[in-house]
Amino acid sequence: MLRLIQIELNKLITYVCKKFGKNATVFPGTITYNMRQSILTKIKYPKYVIGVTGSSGKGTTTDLIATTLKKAGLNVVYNDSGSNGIRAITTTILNNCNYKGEMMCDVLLLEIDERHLHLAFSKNKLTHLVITNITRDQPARSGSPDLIYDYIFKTVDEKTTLVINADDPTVARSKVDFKGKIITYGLGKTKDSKCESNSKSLDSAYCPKCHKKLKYDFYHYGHIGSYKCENCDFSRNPLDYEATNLNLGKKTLKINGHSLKINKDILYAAYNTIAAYALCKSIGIDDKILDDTLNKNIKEAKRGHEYEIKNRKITMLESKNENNLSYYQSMKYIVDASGKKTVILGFDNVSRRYKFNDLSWLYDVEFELLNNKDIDKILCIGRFRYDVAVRLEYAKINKNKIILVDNLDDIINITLNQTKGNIYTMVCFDMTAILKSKIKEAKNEEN
Amino acid sequence: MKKIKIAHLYYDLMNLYGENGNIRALEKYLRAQKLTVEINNLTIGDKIDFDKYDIFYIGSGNDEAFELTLKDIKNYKANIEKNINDKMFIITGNALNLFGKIYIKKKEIIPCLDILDFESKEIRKRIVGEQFLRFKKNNCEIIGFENRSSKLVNVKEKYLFHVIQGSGTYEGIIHKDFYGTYLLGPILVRNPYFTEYITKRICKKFDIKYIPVNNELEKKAYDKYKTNFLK
Repeated sequence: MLRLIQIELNKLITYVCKKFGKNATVFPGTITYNMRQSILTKIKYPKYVIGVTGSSGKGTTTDLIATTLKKAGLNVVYNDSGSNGIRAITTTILNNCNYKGEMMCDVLLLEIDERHLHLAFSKNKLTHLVITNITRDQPARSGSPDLIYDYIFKTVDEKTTLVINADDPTVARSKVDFKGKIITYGLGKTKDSKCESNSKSLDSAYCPKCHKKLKYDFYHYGHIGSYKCENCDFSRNPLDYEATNLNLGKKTLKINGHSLKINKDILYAAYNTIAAYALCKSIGIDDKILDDTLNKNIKEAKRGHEYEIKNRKITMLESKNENNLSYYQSMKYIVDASGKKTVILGFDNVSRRYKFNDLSWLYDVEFELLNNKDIDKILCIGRFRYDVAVRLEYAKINKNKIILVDNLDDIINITLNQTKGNIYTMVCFDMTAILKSKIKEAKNEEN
Repeated sequence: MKKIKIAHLYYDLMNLYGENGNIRALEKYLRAQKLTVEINNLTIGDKIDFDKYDIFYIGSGNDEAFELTLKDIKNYKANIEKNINDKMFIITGNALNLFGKIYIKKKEIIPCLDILDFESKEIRKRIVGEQFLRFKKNNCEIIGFENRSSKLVNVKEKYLFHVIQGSGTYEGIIHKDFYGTYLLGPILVRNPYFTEYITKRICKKFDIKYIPVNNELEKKAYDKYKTNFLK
């Protein structure tokens, strides 16, 4: 009876929220989850319950999988809002149940926070879990990568098939620990692969099995690459799905020899596509359908909104604070673009999840990449602009290139009058909205 | 020009949370003293000679990294003991536990280096948060962050800091020029007054006159942080 009340109440709150134009992704689940937290164990789940977790790449990977499975004729329920905590997941699940507590779909597909996985699925097991990567991410909340690993692995057992990015040794540790079925994927050497890591803060440089130092054939970035232990049999290889021939300019790659497109010219996009491909193949989706969906530019990656003011192009790259690989990708994108450029960098809050303002991660981010002759100026904004500027100085970036913007009302004027080239903003969530409104104001004045 | 040698120990294991910033800060402040700075990254498998270096740095690591480091560093106990009263040690995060007598993990008693007179103990609930402390030696305030799962017990050494706002009453261990704190991350970048103090200590050891460091931006960041976030 309580189950029925929770389901119907969830639907009612969602309806009311929507009616009044409010966001209905988290609030309904907050109420119903708090009524009885075990509600998700009382649900009858469909044949496939697929989770996608990891420090980055969850959202786009989930989108790609959802589109493909729908194309294959399956009825898919998924959390397309991007909210991936237990409350948003409760909203999604309960809204798609009938009065008997049965989910009315063929597939439940969830992008899910690493730390919330066990809250939802410790009893009812996932049929599949995609793990994209485990990197330093929100250390104040998640602790270190090995703690994130523990969080994920207390949820799965032999009933779950893992689909893992084996290029990440922290994830591939599951090959030693996990008793169930594991499907592996990875990306072969590209023209950007390096013999030495770009990262000063290498996670998992040691073998999880015998604790000897891992030997890398090449690195893609951070600790992601091709490695093996020379002391035991722990290795990234063999892979079930290996992508080769990556061409970021043309946005193409091959997976096990099969040609596909990726939806953005960054390395992340390649990993998202390989993950989606590996998962879909593992549940028997035909290559023809995968070609059809993955080759059509189904959804642009979330990052990279573009604007123009006074003939200056502005590209907004959202970078996730506390995640060095997210910043690395943004910086690589900026540095690889041609022509002179100006970068806007900063944040008011480290996280939207907690009040802590730990700044350590600034030193895990390789800001040295911005020490580049094509970068004209770097504007530091937000409450931590001095800390960001100090970090840039430590990256040996010329002081004359750094501009501290004390008042955000001046940002557009300063940018237009004191800097050159295309403009890239590399800011976190809280600054994106502010900058967008400043751009809009400036455009209105222009017109 | 005089040369100063820094050993960044277990750099690839004990390296959570941007602690490479501390090495960068040491390099900057010591170069400003017209010293030639040599930094050696050393880890398991290397032969570490504690007689050869002037400053030792160890950062924080996860449990597994801590255990691997402890096993290795114990090989150098006599060599460290010989140098503990003369050389500078800057130790952040759980690396501090290496130097005590024992580390109590659940019911297991893990013998540590037993060079300084304190013990450490695992705690059930992690302590995560900002710390605002006082360093009495030059009466400066310290800002920093902690995220730890252990605490100090049976401390017979002197505490390094007094807590103004945050967890506990005292923090860290000081013994001659051994500075050990549970704070993590780039504390030497973020605390310019503290780093000036330890730079002056080095100058004294090297018998050279302290030259003021251009750390105006670091001081602005430090002041801004205090006005923004501390009550």
